[in-house]
Amino acid sequence: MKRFGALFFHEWKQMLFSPIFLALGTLFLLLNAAMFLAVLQEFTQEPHFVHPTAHWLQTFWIGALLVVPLLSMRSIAEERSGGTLDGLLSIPLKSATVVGCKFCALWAHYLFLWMCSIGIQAYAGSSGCVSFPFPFFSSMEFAGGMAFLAMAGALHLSLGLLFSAVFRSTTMAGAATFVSLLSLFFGPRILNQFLLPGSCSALRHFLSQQDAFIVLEEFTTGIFDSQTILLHISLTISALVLAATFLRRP
Amino acid sequence: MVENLTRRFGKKVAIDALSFSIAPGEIVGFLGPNGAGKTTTLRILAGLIDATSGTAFLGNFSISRRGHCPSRLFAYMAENNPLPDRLTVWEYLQLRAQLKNVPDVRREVTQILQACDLLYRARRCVIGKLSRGHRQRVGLADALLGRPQILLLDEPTMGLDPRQARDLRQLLRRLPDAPTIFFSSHVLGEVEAFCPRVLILSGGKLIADGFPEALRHRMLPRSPQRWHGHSRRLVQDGGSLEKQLRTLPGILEVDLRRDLEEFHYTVSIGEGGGLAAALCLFGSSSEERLLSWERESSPLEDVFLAATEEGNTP
Repeated sequence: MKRFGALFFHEWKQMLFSPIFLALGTLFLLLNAAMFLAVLQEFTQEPHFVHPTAHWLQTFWIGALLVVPLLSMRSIAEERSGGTLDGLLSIPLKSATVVGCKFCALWAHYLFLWMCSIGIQAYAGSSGCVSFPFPFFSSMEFAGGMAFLAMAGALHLSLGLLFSAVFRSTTMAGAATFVSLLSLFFGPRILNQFLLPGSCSALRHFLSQQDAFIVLEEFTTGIFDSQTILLHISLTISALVLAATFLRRP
Repeated sequence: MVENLTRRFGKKVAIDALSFSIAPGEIVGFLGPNGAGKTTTLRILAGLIDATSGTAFLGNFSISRRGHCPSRLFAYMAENNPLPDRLTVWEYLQLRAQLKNVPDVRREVTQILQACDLLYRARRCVIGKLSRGHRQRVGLADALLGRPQILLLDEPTMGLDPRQARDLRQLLRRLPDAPTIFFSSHVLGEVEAFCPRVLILSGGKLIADGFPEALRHRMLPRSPQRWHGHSRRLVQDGGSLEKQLRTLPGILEVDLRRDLEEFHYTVSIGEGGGLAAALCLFGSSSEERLLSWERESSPLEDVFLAATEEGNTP
């Protein structure tokens, strides 16, 4: 546990103070702020039945597509190409420990970025920087949204980590993560609407359950589907196990 | 102890039925041409890759399959010594000590930095800005954390200038607790000077194992012995011994360099002997007094070339 903690904090510290990740974090916050302002603008022009926070969270995929590949692609592929992974494994640490530490650090940093983003907007609302007719920040939407971001983020980052373990090139790992995230975000909807219009209802139901935007909407309204949660957790664990398996390939 | 260790990458056999054993505290040089399988062997011993078959034990722990060996038993310094460039030396060693479960991290890191002559020079430096020599010292300091009993060093002096390489060798000789050192290098003179015993690998097979001198006798039995003599001039002219030496049976070649007061001989003696006669000649001479007579140890290069030449390569 002591080793896990040491490696976890080392990994996270590297992300927190790395110039590249600082620039990425800034870009992420600016992007989210711009999108939130756009949502507010839209809300002032026409009435909506959802809370602006929930509406804004529907744009999570843009931030995820920007941040997840860039965060995860370097974690293993770069260490492997630089040779420092051998140093880590020759201590010897178990592959599962290395992958677990890297995953936890990535996840912590990802959630930290989202917390900052939401925190800035909450602060803007509570300090009166932005005037709005009803409570600017809703704890229900916030809690549900964060739960979704944590669950989906874990899956997305574990996929990124898997590709980072599979590919030696960070660019390839990033590209593969990007494509897989696009498939996760839009695949179920496209399949449901265009490819399988007349197929069995069970399959269509399953696909709609996997639609990230529907799942997010449910989470922000307080509906937590255990089937979806279990599926996300099992996929995350599977991706991490595979990443640990690929970690030691010659 | 390594027994029949084999590693295949697809159809290619990287190492083939390798067997050898190393006693505690021994320093063993590991030689071989590029692609001979040295790094593969070291990576198996370091637990980074599995052996396809065979067994390898570090102490009582089997390490031919990964993950069975406690971290305190051995340390591996990889070829090129990859280090994270963004960390300072202190941060890096502190992290490594924590990962190796070293009990008193601060004290241990300070002691190791001191032993590697880094405590005042480079402790706070960022690794990316260190010279090659200092980077190697940091790599060695990392390997020494936790006082391992076995050091696996894959070309630790690669890229160092002769002074830096010498400093690193001296550092290894001075190590406390005298760990077993398994040292791979391409610099034959360095291995000869540093390692009493050498293993030579070619085409994945161990083709020579022993002390350089014994290997020379075994692999180059008919090559002439070279001796260096150093004598003082006793009379004004002198130097007539050179001609007499040439006439002795078994003497193949005599080379003489003259100083103002001294003579320096290089004598090659063949199979027929001639050493005793040469020494008698010096002993009875009234022109010169022999001050030293030393055998030129056979360069390991000859042994290496003989061992790895086409015919000997499996």
